Amino acid sequence: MTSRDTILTRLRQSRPSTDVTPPLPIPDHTLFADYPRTAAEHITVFADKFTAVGGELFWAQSTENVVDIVRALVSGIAVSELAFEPDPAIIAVLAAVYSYDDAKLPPEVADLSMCNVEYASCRVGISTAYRLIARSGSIVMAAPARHGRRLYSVPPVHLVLARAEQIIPSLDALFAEVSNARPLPSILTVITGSSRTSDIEKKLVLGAHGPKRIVLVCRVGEDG
Amino acid sequence: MNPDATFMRDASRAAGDRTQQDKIRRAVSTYAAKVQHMKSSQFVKWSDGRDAAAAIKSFALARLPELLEQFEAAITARGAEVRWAADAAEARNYVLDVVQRYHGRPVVKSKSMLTEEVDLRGALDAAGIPVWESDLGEFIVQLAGEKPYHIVTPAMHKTAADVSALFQQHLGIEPTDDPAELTAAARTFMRGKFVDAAVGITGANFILADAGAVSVTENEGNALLSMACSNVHIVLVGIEKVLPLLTDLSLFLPLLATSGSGQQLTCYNSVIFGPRQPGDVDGPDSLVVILVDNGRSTLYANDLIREALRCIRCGACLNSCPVYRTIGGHAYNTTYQGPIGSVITPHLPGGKEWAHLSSASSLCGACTASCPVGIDLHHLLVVNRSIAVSRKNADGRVAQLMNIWAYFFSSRRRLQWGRTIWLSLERLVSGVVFRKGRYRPPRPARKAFSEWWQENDIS
Repeated sequence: MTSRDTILTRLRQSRPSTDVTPPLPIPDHTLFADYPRTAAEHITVFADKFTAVGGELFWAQSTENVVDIVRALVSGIAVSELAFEPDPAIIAVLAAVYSYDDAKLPPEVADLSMCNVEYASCRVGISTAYRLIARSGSIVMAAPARHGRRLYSVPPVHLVLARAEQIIPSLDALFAEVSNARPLPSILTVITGSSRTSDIEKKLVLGAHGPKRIVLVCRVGEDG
Repeated sequence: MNPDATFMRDASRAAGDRTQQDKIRRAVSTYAAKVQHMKSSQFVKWSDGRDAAAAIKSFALARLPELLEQFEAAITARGAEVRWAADAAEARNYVLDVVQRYHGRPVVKSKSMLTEEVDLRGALDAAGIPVWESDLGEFIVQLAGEKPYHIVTPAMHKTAADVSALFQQHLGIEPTDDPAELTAAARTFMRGKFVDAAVGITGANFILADAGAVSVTENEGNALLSMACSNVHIVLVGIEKVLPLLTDLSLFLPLLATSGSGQQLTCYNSVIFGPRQPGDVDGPDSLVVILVDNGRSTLYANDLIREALRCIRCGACLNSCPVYRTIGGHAYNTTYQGPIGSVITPHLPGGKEWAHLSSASSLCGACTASCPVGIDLHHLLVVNRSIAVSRKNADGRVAQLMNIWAYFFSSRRRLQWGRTIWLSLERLVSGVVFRKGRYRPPRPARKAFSEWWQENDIS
């Protein structure tokens, strides 16, 4: 008999005699006092919570705005020192920031399949987000976006470009959506603030092993 | 020395160690304030969240074998390997089997109490495989050659100066007492290991049956790095960690963060659905999930103790326990300390030696009040005591004294009579029977309550 059979048989033989009915799900809006109720609240609650956990938030009204904000953030950093998701909007922004006229990838950019050693020298990782969560101020990373896992864990700065319409109220909406997604991503990460530790004398230190800074440039408004 | 005697020795020593207690008090008071704030600001009613979580966990335990099979089928369909380990040795062998294919390359390991329970690092060390604890607290404890002091805060007992001394010795840093500089030194050192590691080992906080997924919660990003940079991701998880639905995480993630560290959500909550999939730019080529029993099915078979398997290892019961706060984590000398450790350790392999821990409690109920999944911890300690007595593991002298006590207290007349004897013999008996211990029975009042009542004519 394999261990699998042994374990399952033992569990079957000793399970509780009375069966338990599945509990009814409790939606987040009845459980949590800080659940945002309206679309306007989604934005304000997200902004409050995201900055409270140490996130740096920039609102952008237009593509030009995004370009200006990103230009300031990456000043002094060469394009070859960036790891970025090959998303058309990100490529367009970087082309503008680094003055490539025809919005084509410059030849020296990092390839996301580079080895770990090369990845470790990247100074900023730039990606889109899957969703933003208002109640906890979180950024959700998930496939099918082609950023991979290292982009948001290896570089010391994670820069996210997203839109305010991507804000959802709480985790229940996220997991309900992902439960029905096919194919499922290989990983989904809910990021709430920058990497941190309090392991030495309970003193909070940012940038334990993951990114020290998480920066979100969020588009609001109609165009684009 | 047997575990009972060792415990008495270490607990007595720790109970007199003011420096240690100051460290615990500082850590726990920071924690308690944050948790209280997060409970009241986040939840309409904290107890509603707790009751809902308890109901989901009870349901999951009732359907445990089916949910485990459902999990296995779903995650296997996306290319993960699932192994079942009946005991610690089998779990270690599965890991060694995978790791030895990449011999010579380091293994990075995240914080996981289960890997402590099966002594995984011991097995890897013995096989000559370099293995690094990547969680800062665990890394400190590894360098110090110690065991974790607390299931959530392993290096709670170390000051910045202690850590500095360790890092000077092992990493060659300049002296500093600044936690930020010390953290930066560990980050730099560990980066090299993440980059080289062939295998990343993590635990799991939950596994989800419907989606076939593994949920890993952490603050530092070390687990995420290990599953982003390694060729293989190995997950060790206890069979009790299964939840029926992916959507259950919307309750369990905030619950764990609130009780574990007073955060709304822990910084990184990763849900892993499989190894690298077509179209992914990175991620491990293989994902191995080892489902570990190691005594859990024995615990499961006990109707009175089974609910202890609801535990999500948040550490709240340790922090609230006056005994833990007095004697600290090392005196227990077990993988799991505090009230939950005292409840489950006697049921794990080799556990009969650990029945004494259930008596290391005042039964004040602070643990039960703090538990986010509603485990009736202090009553389970009483259940354990009762089991220990019925196994005749109880101290024979205590049993004799209880028999004498029962003889006198079961009759009013004998009680009166016994009191007279006790009053005359008390000094002598105490001096002889309790000579060695520090405990002295209280002196009886000179006048019995009934006598006092009659004399004062209260009616």
